[in-house]
Amino acid sequence: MLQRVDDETVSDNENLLRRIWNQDQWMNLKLMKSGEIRPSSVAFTDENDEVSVFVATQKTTEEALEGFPDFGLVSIEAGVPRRNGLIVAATPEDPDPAHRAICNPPIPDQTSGRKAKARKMAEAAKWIVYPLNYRAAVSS
Amino acid sequence: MEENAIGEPKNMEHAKIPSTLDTQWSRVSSVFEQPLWSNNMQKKLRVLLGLNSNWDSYGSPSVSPAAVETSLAILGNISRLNMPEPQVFPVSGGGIQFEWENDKCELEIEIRPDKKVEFLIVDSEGGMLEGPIYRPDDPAQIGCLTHWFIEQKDSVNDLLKAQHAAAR
Repeated sequence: MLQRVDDETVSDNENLLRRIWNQDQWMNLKLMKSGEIRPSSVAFTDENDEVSVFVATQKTTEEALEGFPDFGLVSIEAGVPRRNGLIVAATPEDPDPAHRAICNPPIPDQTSGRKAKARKMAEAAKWIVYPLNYRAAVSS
Repeated sequence: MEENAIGEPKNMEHAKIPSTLDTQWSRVSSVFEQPLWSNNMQKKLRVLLGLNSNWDSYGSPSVSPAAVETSLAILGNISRLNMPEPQVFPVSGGGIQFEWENDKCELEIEIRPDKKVEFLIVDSEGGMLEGPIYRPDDPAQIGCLTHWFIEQKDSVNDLLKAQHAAAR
């Protein structure tokens, strides 16, 4: 795996975009006690421990969802993964300059595990576009 | 009532289990011990098995058959433990995750594509505890988590105490 370093050009209050999977009536959504819905923690879990995101100032909503019209789109501030011991790393191997990877730093933070970190990011996510099945459900 | 050779009522309709899952499921649990949601769960697992690579739009491989096999073993245990129907999701990289929640606590069980299993519990205060489940086929290991969930314990510390007690 490539050695990743935190991209300091992305400030803590900058938004990162992440697409949310959607299929048929499959609701990849959780209802929080506040009444808000959030994506499942699986939205911020990857077997390779690298979660792809786009820097919002470098990608429009339409561009982020291009080719995936059924998907939802959420944003989280870059400070959220950082406060949970992760980094927001540039990915020079990716041709898309807006692409970043949320991943462990070279010396991983041990204060909490990968599942708790994913869960905290999911709780902090704000919807930009709801998944198609949710849009269809609330409009019917 | 007339019974067949293994004591099941002759006119009882057997649950329709997809052929690809039939062998795996029957290894871990009789269909007559399964809760009502088990058929629905099998259908969902079949859908997950059919996901193409890049289903998540980020290049994930398809869901691993090994993860499905382990999922079935876990569900076979859980089906005897009076648990409600979980939500099930694919995980980028080929895994599967089950999620339960009630008024006070939440439980996630993730099956990774290499069959490793991990859990996360969240209590009513937002406290979190996670760790591996080394023997997902052991009802006692899964039972510790489901008992904590069903009892709606207040704190993840209750689970830690239960684990320490079980280890003694």
